[in-house]
Amino acid sequence: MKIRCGILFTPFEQIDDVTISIEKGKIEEISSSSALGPTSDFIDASRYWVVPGFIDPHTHIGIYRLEGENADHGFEVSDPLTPHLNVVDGIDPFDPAFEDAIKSGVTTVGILPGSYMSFGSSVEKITIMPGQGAIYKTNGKLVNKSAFVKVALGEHPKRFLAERKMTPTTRMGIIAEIRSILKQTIQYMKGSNEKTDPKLESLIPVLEKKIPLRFHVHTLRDIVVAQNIAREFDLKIVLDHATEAYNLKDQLKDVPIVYGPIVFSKRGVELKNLDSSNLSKMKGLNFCLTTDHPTIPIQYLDFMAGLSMAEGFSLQEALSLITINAAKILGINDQTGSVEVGKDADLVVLSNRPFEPDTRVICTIVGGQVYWGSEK
Amino acid sequence: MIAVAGGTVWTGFETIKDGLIIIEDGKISYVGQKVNLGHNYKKIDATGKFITPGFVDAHSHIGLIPEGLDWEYSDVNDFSGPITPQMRAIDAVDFFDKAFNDALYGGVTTVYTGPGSANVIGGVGLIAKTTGKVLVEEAALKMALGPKGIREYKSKEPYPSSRMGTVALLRNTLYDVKRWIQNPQFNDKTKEFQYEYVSKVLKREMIAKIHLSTSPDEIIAVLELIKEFDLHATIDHVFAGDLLTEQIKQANVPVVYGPVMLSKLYSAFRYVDDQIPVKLSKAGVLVALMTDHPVIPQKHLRLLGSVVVRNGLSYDEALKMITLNPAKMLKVDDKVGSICVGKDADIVISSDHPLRLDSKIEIVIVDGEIVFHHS
Repeated sequence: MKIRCGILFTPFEQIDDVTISIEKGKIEEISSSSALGPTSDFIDASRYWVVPGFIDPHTHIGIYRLEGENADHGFEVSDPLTPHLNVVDGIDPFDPAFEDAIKSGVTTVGILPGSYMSFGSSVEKITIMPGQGAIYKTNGKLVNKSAFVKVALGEHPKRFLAERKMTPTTRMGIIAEIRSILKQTIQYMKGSNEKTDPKLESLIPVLEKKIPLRFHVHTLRDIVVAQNIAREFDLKIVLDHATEAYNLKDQLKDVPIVYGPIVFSKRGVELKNLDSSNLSKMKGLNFCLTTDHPTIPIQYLDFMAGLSMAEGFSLQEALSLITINAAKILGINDQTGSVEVGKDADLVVLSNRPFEPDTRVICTIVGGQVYWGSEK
Repeated sequence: MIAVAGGTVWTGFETIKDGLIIIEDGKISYVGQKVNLGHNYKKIDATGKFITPGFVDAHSHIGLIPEGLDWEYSDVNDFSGPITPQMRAIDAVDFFDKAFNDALYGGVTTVYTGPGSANVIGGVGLIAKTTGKVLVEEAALKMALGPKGIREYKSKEPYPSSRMGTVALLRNTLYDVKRWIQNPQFNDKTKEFQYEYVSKVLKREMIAKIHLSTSPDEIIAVLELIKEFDLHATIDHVFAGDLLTEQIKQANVPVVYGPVMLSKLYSAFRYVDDQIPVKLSKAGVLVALMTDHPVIPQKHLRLLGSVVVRNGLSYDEALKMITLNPAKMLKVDDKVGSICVGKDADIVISSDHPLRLDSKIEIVIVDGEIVFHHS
């Protein structure tokens, strides 16, 4: 298949009038359009913009069953530490959010076990270690089943556990539980075990630095503690939400951050400093943006990036925040996140410049498969 | 006197290229093509900028649900009983809440803020400038149908547990007050204090602001009530509105839709669809957008306008949904919601059309005072 692009934004550079050749779901060639011969499998996007498929590393698509107060909110409440659980075992492949994602140009998502804040509450419901997350293409293809393990610090797990009359109920207690299970895993890795322990088993790749531990954190104090744990156990980490990260720029230069959602009110003490304008102070950090779907519906991921442009980010930087930066943080930038030869053909054809409210998705291409928008 | 000179002025009714606005004593005294000015003016050069009226939010809980504090500090729902028209937002609103300042930065200059939806009649909301100046102390009486899930609180008085029960209680109350108006001797003296507020709605002196978030049957029931009691009403949220577009249009009842950019988080939100305000508007219904702050932060009202553009409405019509339309519904369009001679000088100067995502709000003027100037 070939796509003739009016403007291609890779997002490293903007190239006018080029043709992308796709073979077996991969980008085979990017060449100047004059070389194009006649072909039946051809998309004429010569009047349009072509950008990499958008990536949201932090969503609860499929695992957070909507349309019911008593529905599954994507985590287990029977035990505060359940690293052996995996979202893949609970994802509804028919969640309409997958379709919403494709229709709006989102091609890859990280899916994490839940956290959930109901209206009329400032307690975000979350346990300490709710489980493993996965990476999916939005056409349902599983990219990585055990891509990371999620852990939550701060007021949210603290209050949720207290509300349910479970323990621990302090930051000290939460950190003690995390250190304890990591130390047990180290012992477990050394020993010749007669019996397998699924919880400790699932933390081995974390201690081997094969997958990151992803920290749900908001405040500075919890960000500092997350870094301390990373240092103590020599871990790969990602900070999720990281609301106050803009205040610790020097220490956080090398720490990947999945920032947001930036459109959320200052609900509860934990979020008292949340404001989309903090983005202007995030420049220079290694970060990407998230909807935290269903907090912001997945189809507005590009709006989050668009808002960064009002805070001083260029079009290229804004686009990177939901493409290549996100791919790097998920560790899949060899596969997707930019338009380069050899990578998956994950592309969005847009009627106009990205991030204009009246720009329409003409089609989304996931691994070479074309999904047409309503404009065709 | 302030003169905002140059730039594109969108007044609410027309677009003026290279325009001029003159502000005297907090009011607009001229809007139109640029003319030569004397030296008596403090001049704001708006060349290349986009100038709009300050944004108006017709449904918010700003100042009643505090920012940066936990839910127990909320003053939005009082569970004394299902009928509490005597509760007034003006007695609880915190104008020092950080959200007011953020709102100004976001170009939101006028808000309706009021009680929540826990009670069948929740109380009286107010309309204020986000500078804290109150425009209407007792602006609208909040009434609410469903979701009944949040009503499971302890109260001396029982709460209705079904939609039939809710509508029946609302209708009975309206009838009681109607009889009381006709014959003040007729009713329970202890309830007179409550009845006064309801009577204002029946006399069309106050807006009935009716929360409908769950399903189409609620809309049908409420349109019937509005007709029966000849209320000046708005219907708010209206997530199933597109199923009853024709009926809403026929009833000539304005809709405060939203918030948009919401997921189907609860069963009450199962009809949520961001194309609904677009469909209603195109059918001729008067539609405004709400943040329902803190559901969407107050300052992001204009982002909701962008969402409506994404879903197929023109920039101008979407802009009306956060300026002129809410001002009309709140009956304050003689003061705010458009840039016209004689109206309050509430003006937002942006780097580009404010519904573009990369547009930056640079200057905000309320009642002729520059309250925000981006440096």
